[in-house]
Amino acid sequence: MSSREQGRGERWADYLAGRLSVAERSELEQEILESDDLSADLYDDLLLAEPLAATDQSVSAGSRPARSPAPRMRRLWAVVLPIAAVLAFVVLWPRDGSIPDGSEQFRGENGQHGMTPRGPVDAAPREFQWSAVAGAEWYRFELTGADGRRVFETTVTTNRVEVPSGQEISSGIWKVIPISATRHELPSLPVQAFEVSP
Amino acid sequence: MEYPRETGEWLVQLRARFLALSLRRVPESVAEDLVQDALSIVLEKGVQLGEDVDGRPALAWCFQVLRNTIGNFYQKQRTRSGHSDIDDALDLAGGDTPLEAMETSEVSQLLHETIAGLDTDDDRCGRYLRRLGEGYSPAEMAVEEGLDAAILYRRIYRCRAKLRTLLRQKGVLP
Repeated sequence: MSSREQGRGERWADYLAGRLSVAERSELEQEILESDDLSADLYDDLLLAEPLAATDQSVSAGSRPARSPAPRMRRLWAVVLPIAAVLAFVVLWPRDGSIPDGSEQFRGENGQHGMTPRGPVDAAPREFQWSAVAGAEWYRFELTGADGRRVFETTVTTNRVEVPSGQEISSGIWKVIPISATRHELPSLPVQAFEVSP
Repeated sequence: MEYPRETGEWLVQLRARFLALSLRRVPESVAEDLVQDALSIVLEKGVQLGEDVDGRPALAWCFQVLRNTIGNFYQKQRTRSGHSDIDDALDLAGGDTPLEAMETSEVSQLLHETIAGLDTDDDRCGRYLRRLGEGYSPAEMAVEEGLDAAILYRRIYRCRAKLRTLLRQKGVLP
Protein backbone atom coordinates (compact mmCIF):
# COMPACT_ATOMS: atom_id res chain seq x y z
CA MET A 1 0.00 0.00 0.00
CA SER A 2 1.31 3.41 -0.92
CA SER A 3 1.84 6.18 1.61
CA ARG A 4 -0.90 8.06 -0.21
CA GLU A 5 -3.33 5.23 0.45
CA GLN A 6 -2.20 5.04 4.03
CA GLY A 7 -2.80 8.75 4.46
CA ARG A 8 -6.17 8.42 2.88
CA GLY A 9 -7.02 5.51 5.15
CA GLU A 10 -6.08 7.46 8.23
CA ARG A 11 -7.94 10.53 7.14
CA TRP A 12 -10.98 8.48 6.19
CA ALA A 13 -11.12 6.78 9.57
CA ASP A 14 -10.67 10.09 11.36
CA TYR A 15 -13.39 11.67 9.26
CA LEU A 16 -15.92 8.94 10.03
CA ALA A 17 -14.99 9.09 13.69
CA GLY A 18 -15.42 12.88 13.73
CA ARG A 19 -11.83 13.54 14.69
CA LEU A 20 -10.86 15.91 11.89
CA SER A 21 -10.75 19.65 12.43
CA VAL A 22 -13.39 21.74 10.70
CA ALA A 23 -10.86 22.80 8.06
CA GLU A 24 -9.66 19.23 7.44
CA ARG A 25 -13.20 17.95 7.34
CA SER A 26 -14.29 20.62 4.88
CA GLU A 27 -11.34 19.84 2.66
CA LEU A 28 -12.08 16.11 2.62
CA GLU A 29 -15.80 16.66 2.07
CA GLN A 30 -15.00 18.83 -0.91
CA GLU A 31 -12.77 16.06 -2.28
CA ILE A 32 -15.55 13.53 -1.80
CA LEU A 33 -17.99 15.76 -3.63
CA GLU A 34 -15.62 16.00 -6.56
CA SER A 35 -14.92 12.27 -6.82
CA ASP A 36 -17.23 9.49 -7.92
CA ASP A 37 -14.99 6.91 -6.26
CA LEU A 38 -14.81 8.64 -2.89
CA SER A 39 -18.54 9.31 -2.96
CA ALA A 40 -19.21 5.64 -3.63
CA ASP A 41 -16.80 4.65 -0.84
CA LEU A 42 -18.53 6.91 1.66
CA TYR A 43 -21.97 5.68 0.65
CA ASP A 44 -20.88 2.04 0.84
CA ASP A 45 -19.28 2.50 4.25
CA LEU A 46 -22.48 4.01 5.59
CA LEU A 47 -24.52 1.33 3.91
CA LEU A 48 -22.49 -1.39 5.56
CA ALA A 49 -22.10 0.20 8.98
CA GLU A 50 -25.53 -0.60 10.36
CA PRO A 51 -25.85 -4.22 9.23
CA LEU A 52 -22.23 -4.73 10.20
CA ALA A 53 -23.11 -3.73 13.74
CA ALA A 54 -26.14 -6.02 13.65
CA THR A 55 -23.99 -8.84 12.33
CA ASP A 56 -21.52 -8.23 15.04
CA GLN A 57 -24.10 -8.31 17.78
CA SER A 58 -25.40 -11.63 16.56
CA VAL A 59 -22.16 -13.42 15.86
CA SER A 60 -19.33 -11.62 17.62
CA ALA A 61 -17.18 -13.45 20.09
CA GLY A 62 -15.70 -10.17 21.25
CA SER A 63 -14.85 -9.77 24.89
CA ARG A 64 -16.25 -6.29 25.29
CA PRO A 65 -19.90 -5.37 25.00
CA ALA A 66 -21.07 -3.65 21.85
CA ARG A 67 -21.24 0.07 22.12
CA SER A 68 -24.25 2.20 21.76
CA PRO A 69 -24.77 3.49 18.25
CA ALA A 70 -23.72 7.01 17.44
CA PRO A 71 -26.04 9.58 18.94
CA ARG A 72 -29.22 9.80 16.97
CA MET A 73 -31.16 12.95 16.40
CA ARG A 74 -33.16 13.59 19.53
CA ARG A 75 -35.13 16.49 18.30
CA LEU A 76 -36.07 17.82 14.97
CA TRP A 77 -34.45 21.06 14.10
CA ALA A 78 -36.55 24.09 14.83
CA VAL A 79 -37.39 24.60 11.17
CA VAL A 80 -33.94 25.70 10.22
CA LEU A 81 -34.81 27.25 6.93
CA PRO A 82 -38.13 28.70 5.91
CA ILE A 83 -40.35 26.27 4.12
CA ALA A 84 -40.03 28.66 1.22
CA ALA A 85 -36.44 27.61 0.83
CA VAL A 86 -37.44 23.97 0.55
CA LEU A 87 -39.97 24.75 -2.12
CA ALA A 88 -37.53 26.84 -4.05
CA PHE A 89 -35.08 23.97 -4.03
CA VAL A 90 -37.37 21.03 -4.58
CA VAL A 91 -40.06 22.43 -6.80
CA LEU A 92 -38.31 25.19 -8.67
CA TRP A 93 -34.89 23.65 -9.14
CA PRO A 94 -34.71 22.64 -12.79
CA ARG A 95 -33.73 19.08 -13.65
CA ASP A 96 -30.47 20.35 -15.10
CA GLY A 97 -29.32 21.20 -11.59
CA SER A 98 -29.15 24.96 -11.98
CA ILE A 99 -29.66 27.03 -8.87
CA PRO A 100 -33.09 28.59 -8.51
CA ASP A 101 -33.09 32.35 -8.53
CA GLY A 102 -36.14 32.65 -6.34
CA SER A 103 -38.01 34.79 -8.80
CA GLU A 104 -40.99 32.49 -9.02
CA GLN A 105 -43.83 32.56 -6.53
CA PHE A 106 -45.22 29.70 -4.52
CA ARG A 107 -48.58 28.26 -5.29
CA GLY A 108 -51.53 28.27 -2.93
CA GLU A 109 -52.70 30.59 -0.23
CA ASN A 110 -49.63 31.72 1.65
CA GLY A 111 -47.86 28.67 0.25
CA GLN A 112 -48.90 26.31 3.04
CA HIS A 113 -52.11 24.76 1.70
CA GLY A 114 -53.71 24.72 5.13
CA MET A 115 -51.19 22.15 6.26
CA THR A 116 -51.03 21.43 9.98
CA PRO A 117 -49.08 20.67 12.07
CA ARG A 118 -46.03 22.63 11.09
CA GLY A 119 -43.27 24.35 13.05
CA PRO A 120 -43.23 24.17 16.84
CA VAL A 121 -46.29 22.47 18.32
CA ASP A 122 -47.45 22.02 21.90
CA ALA A 123 -48.12 18.29 21.80
CA ALA A 124 -47.57 15.27 19.60
CA PRO A 125 -50.11 15.64 16.78
CA ARG A 126 -53.01 13.23 16.60
CA GLU A 127 -53.80 14.09 13.00
CA PHE A 128 -52.43 15.83 9.92
CA GLN A 129 -54.57 18.07 7.75
CA TRP A 130 -54.30 19.97 4.51
CA SER A 131 -56.56 21.80 2.10
CA ALA A 132 -58.35 19.74 -0.52
CA VAL A 133 -56.67 19.81 -3.91
CA ALA A 134 -58.70 20.20 -7.07
CA GLY A 135 -58.65 17.03 -9.13
CA ALA A 136 -57.34 14.84 -6.32
CA GLU A 137 -59.15 11.59 -5.67
CA TRP A 138 -56.64 10.23 -3.21
CA TYR A 139 -53.78 11.58 -1.16
CA ARG A 140 -50.60 9.72 -0.35
CA PHE A 141 -49.31 10.82 3.04
CA GLU A 142 -45.70 10.25 4.04
CA LEU A 143 -44.17 11.02 7.42
CA THR A 144 -40.39 10.86 7.60
CA GLY A 145 -37.95 11.18 10.45
CA ALA A 146 -35.29 13.84 10.23
CA ASP A 147 -32.70 11.22 9.29
CA GLY A 148 -34.72 10.24 6.24
CA ARG A 149 -36.19 7.08 7.69
CA ARG A 150 -39.86 6.58 6.87
CA VAL A 151 -42.03 6.54 9.99
CA PHE A 152 -45.51 6.17 8.58
CA GLU A 153 -47.28 6.31 5.23
CA THR A 154 -50.76 5.74 4.00
CA THR A 155 -53.15 6.61 1.19
CA VAL A 156 -56.48 8.23 2.03
CA THR A 157 -59.47 9.73 0.25
CA THR A 158 -59.93 12.62 2.67
CA ASN A 159 -57.64 15.55 3.32
CA ARG A 160 -56.65 14.39 6.77
CA VAL A 161 -54.78 11.49 8.33
CA GLU A 162 -55.04 10.27 11.88
CA VAL A 163 -51.94 9.09 13.65
CA PRO A 164 -52.24 5.35 14.35
CA SER A 165 -53.19 4.66 17.93
CA GLY A 166 -50.26 3.92 20.13
CA GLN A 167 -47.90 6.06 18.10
CA GLU A 168 -46.66 9.32 19.51
CA ILE A 169 -44.59 11.28 17.06
CA SER A 170 -42.85 14.27 18.53
CA SER A 171 -41.00 15.49 15.46
CA GLY A 172 -40.80 14.81 11.77
CA ILE A 173 -41.34 16.08 8.28
CA TRP A 174 -44.32 15.16 6.18
CA LYS A 175 -45.63 15.57 2.71
CA VAL A 176 -48.78 14.89 0.78
CA ILE A 177 -48.98 13.75 -2.82
CA PRO A 178 -52.41 14.22 -4.38
CA ILE A 179 -53.40 11.48 -6.81
CA SER A 180 -55.95 11.95 -9.57
CA ALA A 181 -58.84 9.64 -10.45
CA THR A 182 -56.71 8.31 -13.28
CA ARG A 183 -54.07 7.40 -10.68
CA HIS A 184 -51.60 10.00 -11.77
CA GLU A 185 -49.61 11.89 -9.18
CA LEU A 186 -50.37 15.59 -9.03
CA PRO A 187 -47.74 18.07 -7.76
CA SER A 188 -46.84 17.41 -4.14
CA LEU A 189 -47.82 19.85 -1.45
CA PRO A 190 -44.92 21.57 0.30
CA VAL A 191 -42.90 19.47 2.69
CA GLN A 192 -43.73 20.47 6.26
CA ALA A 193 -41.76 20.04 9.47
CA PHE A 194 -43.02 20.00 13.01
CA GLU A 195 -41.58 19.52 16.45
CA VAL A 196 -43.07 19.42 19.90
CA SER A 197 -41.67 22.36 21.82
CA PRO A 198 -39.64 21.29 24.82
CA MET B 1 -34.84 33.41 -2.26
CA GLU B 2 -31.20 33.50 -3.22
CA TYR B 3 -28.65 31.07 -1.86
CA PRO B 4 -25.13 32.01 -0.91
CA ARG B 5 -22.92 31.13 -3.84
CA GLU B 6 -20.82 28.64 -1.90
CA THR B 7 -23.84 26.84 -0.54
CA GLY B 8 -25.35 26.53 -3.98
CA GLU B 9 -22.18 25.17 -5.49
CA TRP B 10 -21.78 22.31 -3.07
CA LEU B 11 -25.44 21.43 -3.33
CA VAL B 12 -25.11 21.21 -7.09
CA GLN B 13 -22.16 18.84 -6.60
CA LEU B 14 -24.08 16.86 -4.01
CA ARG B 15 -27.00 16.51 -6.38
CA ALA B 16 -24.71 15.16 -9.08
CA ARG B 17 -23.18 12.60 -6.69
CA PHE B 18 -26.57 11.58 -5.36
CA LEU B 19 -27.84 11.06 -8.88
CA ALA B 20 -24.82 9.00 -9.91
CA LEU B 21 -25.19 6.78 -6.84
CA SER B 22 -28.95 6.45 -7.27
CA LEU B 23 -28.81 5.54 -10.92
CA ARG B 24 -26.76 2.49 -10.02
CA ARG B 25 -29.21 1.43 -7.33
CA VAL B 26 -32.74 2.22 -8.45
CA PRO B 27 -34.57 2.38 -11.78
CA GLU B 28 -33.77 5.48 -13.78
CA SER B 29 -37.44 6.44 -13.77
CA VAL B 30 -37.42 7.06 -10.02
CA ALA B 31 -33.83 8.15 -9.43
CA GLU B 32 -34.48 11.86 -9.98
CA ASP B 33 -37.44 11.87 -7.59
CA LEU B 34 -35.52 10.04 -4.87
CA VAL B 35 -32.63 12.47 -5.20
CA GLN B 36 -35.02 15.40 -4.89
CA ASP B 37 -36.55 13.85 -1.78
CA ALA B 38 -33.14 13.37 -0.20
CA LEU B 39 -32.01 16.87 -1.13
CA SER B 40 -35.14 18.42 0.32
CA ILE B 41 -34.26 16.85 3.67
CA VAL B 42 -30.68 18.08 3.41
CA LEU B 43 -31.79 21.59 2.58
CA GLU B 44 -34.39 21.70 5.27
CA LYS B 45 -31.76 20.68 7.76
CA GLY B 46 -29.60 23.62 6.73
CA VAL B 47 -26.49 21.45 6.46
CA GLN B 48 -23.15 23.18 5.97
CA LEU B 49 -19.98 21.37 4.95
CA GLY B 50 -17.43 20.96 7.70
CA GLU B 51 -20.04 21.01 10.43
CA ASP B 52 -21.34 18.25 12.62
CA VAL B 53 -24.93 17.12 12.08
CA ASP B 54 -26.50 14.95 14.74
CA GLY B 55 -23.16 13.56 15.75
CA ARG B 56 -21.98 12.89 12.20
CA PRO B 57 -19.84 14.79 9.75
CA ALA B 58 -22.13 16.84 7.53
CA LEU B 59 -21.50 15.02 4.28
CA ALA B 60 -21.76 11.61 5.92
CA TRP B 61 -25.14 12.70 7.28
CA CYS B 62 -26.24 13.73 3.78
CA PHE B 63 -25.20 10.39 2.30
CA GLN B 64 -27.01 8.57 5.09
CA VAL B 65 -30.16 10.46 4.13
CA LEU B 66 -29.79 9.23 0.55
CA ARG B 67 -29.17 5.70 1.76
CA ASN B 68 -32.35 5.84 3.87
CA THR B 69 -34.33 7.36 1.00
CA ILE B 70 -33.29 4.54 -1.31
CA GLY B 71 -34.04 2.03 1.43
CA ASN B 72 -37.50 3.55 1.81
CA PHE B 73 -38.09 3.15 -1.92
CA TYR B 74 -37.45 -0.58 -1.78
CA GLN B 75 -39.40 -0.92 1.43
CA LYS B 76 -42.34 0.77 -0.24
CA GLN B 77 -42.07 -1.58 -3.20
CA ARG B 78 -42.24 -4.52 -0.83
CA THR B 79 -45.14 -3.07 1.14
CA ARG B 80 -47.28 -2.13 -1.85
CA SER B 81 -47.56 -5.25 -3.92
CA GLY B 82 -45.38 -7.97 -2.64
CA HIS B 83 -42.33 -9.11 -4.51
CA SER B 84 -43.47 -8.75 -8.12
CA ASP B 85 -42.98 -4.98 -8.10
CA ILE B 86 -39.62 -5.16 -6.44
CA ASP B 87 -38.50 -7.77 -8.92
CA ASP B 88 -39.57 -5.45 -11.73
CA ALA B 89 -37.69 -2.60 -10.10
CA LEU B 90 -34.58 -4.70 -9.76
CA ASP B 91 -34.79 -5.71 -13.41
CA LEU B 92 -34.89 -2.06 -14.32
CA ALA B 93 -31.97 -1.38 -12.02
CA GLY B 94 -29.85 -3.84 -13.94
CA GLY B 95 -30.68 -7.26 -12.55
CA ASP B 96 -28.50 -7.23 -9.44
CA THR B 97 -30.00 -7.01 -5.99
CA PRO B 98 -28.56 -4.02 -4.17
CA LEU B 99 -28.14 -4.24 -0.42
CA GLU B 100 -30.76 -1.54 0.02
CA ALA B 101 -33.38 -3.86 -1.48
CA MET B 102 -32.78 -6.57 1.11
CA GLU B 103 -34.30 -7.03 4.50
CA THR B 104 -31.96 -6.13 7.35
CA SER B 105 -31.73 -9.75 8.42
CA GLU B 106 -30.73 -10.77 4.89
CA VAL B 107 -28.03 -8.10 4.79
CA SER B 108 -26.69 -9.13 8.18
CA GLN B 109 -26.57 -12.75 7.10
CA LEU B 110 -24.85 -11.84 3.86
CA LEU B 111 -22.25 -9.75 5.67
CA HIS B 112 -21.72 -12.49 8.19
CA GLU B 113 -21.01 -14.95 5.38
CA THR B 114 -18.85 -12.49 3.49
CA ILE B 115 -16.77 -11.62 6.52
CA ALA B 116 -16.41 -15.31 7.22
CA GLY B 117 -15.05 -15.56 3.69
CA LEU B 118 -12.54 -12.88 4.53
CA ASP B 119 -11.51 -14.86 7.58
CA THR B 120 -10.30 -17.73 5.44
CA ASP B 121 -7.97 -15.33 3.70
CA ASP B 122 -6.97 -13.20 6.66
CA ASP B 123 -8.68 -13.69 10.00
CA ARG B 124 -7.64 -10.22 11.11
CA CYS B 125 -10.02 -8.63 8.64
CA GLY B 126 -13.05 -10.26 10.17
CA ARG B 127 -11.95 -9.23 13.63
CA TYR B 128 -11.27 -5.64 12.62
CA LEU B 129 -14.55 -5.24 10.77
CA ARG B 130 -16.52 -6.68 13.63
CA ARG B 131 -14.78 -4.31 16.03
CA LEU B 132 -15.61 -1.37 13.78
CA GLY B 133 -19.20 -2.57 13.79
CA GLU B 134 -19.16 -2.46 17.55
CA GLY B 135 -18.18 1.20 17.41
CA TYR B 136 -14.52 0.90 18.34
CA SER B 137 -12.25 3.53 16.86
CA PRO B 138 -9.17 2.40 14.97
CA ALA B 139 -7.06 4.09 17.63
CA GLU B 140 -8.69 2.00 20.36
CA MET B 141 -8.29 -1.10 18.27
CA ALA B 142 -4.62 -0.31 17.77
CA VAL B 143 -4.12 -0.29 21.53
CA GLU B 144 -6.07 -3.52 21.86
CA GLU B 145 -4.05 -5.17 19.09
CA GLY B 146 -0.77 -3.75 20.33
CA LEU B 147 -0.11 -2.17 16.97
CA ASP B 148 1.06 1.16 15.77
CA ALA B 149 -2.04 3.11 14.71
CA ALA B 150 -0.67 3.72 11.22
CA ILE B 151 -0.31 -0.03 10.65
CA LEU B 152 -3.86 -0.64 11.77
CA TYR B 153 -5.20 2.12 9.54
CA ARG B 154 -3.52 0.48 6.58
CA ARG B 155 -4.95 -2.91 7.44
CA ILE B 156 -8.46 -1.60 7.94
CA TYR B 157 -8.29 0.27 4.68
CA ARG B 158 -7.27 -2.95 2.96
CA CYS B 159 -9.97 -5.00 4.72
CA ARG B 160 -12.69 -2.58 3.73
CA ALA B 161 -11.53 -2.75 0.13
CA LYS B 162 -11.60 -6.57 0.28
CA LEU B 163 -15.10 -6.56 1.73
CA ARG B 164 -16.34 -4.22 -0.99
CA THR B 165 -14.72 -6.38 -3.67
CA LEU B 166 -16.40 -9.52 -2.36
CA LEU B 167 -19.76 -7.78 -2.12
CA ARG B 168 -19.40 -6.52 -5.68
CA GLN B 169 -18.62 -10.05 -6.81
CA LYS B 170 -21.85 -11.13 -5.14
CA GLY B 171 -23.70 -8.45 -7.11
CA VAL B 172 -24.97 -6.49 -4.11
CA LEU B 173 -22.75 -3.46 -4.52
CA PRO B 174 -22.74 -1.75 -7.90
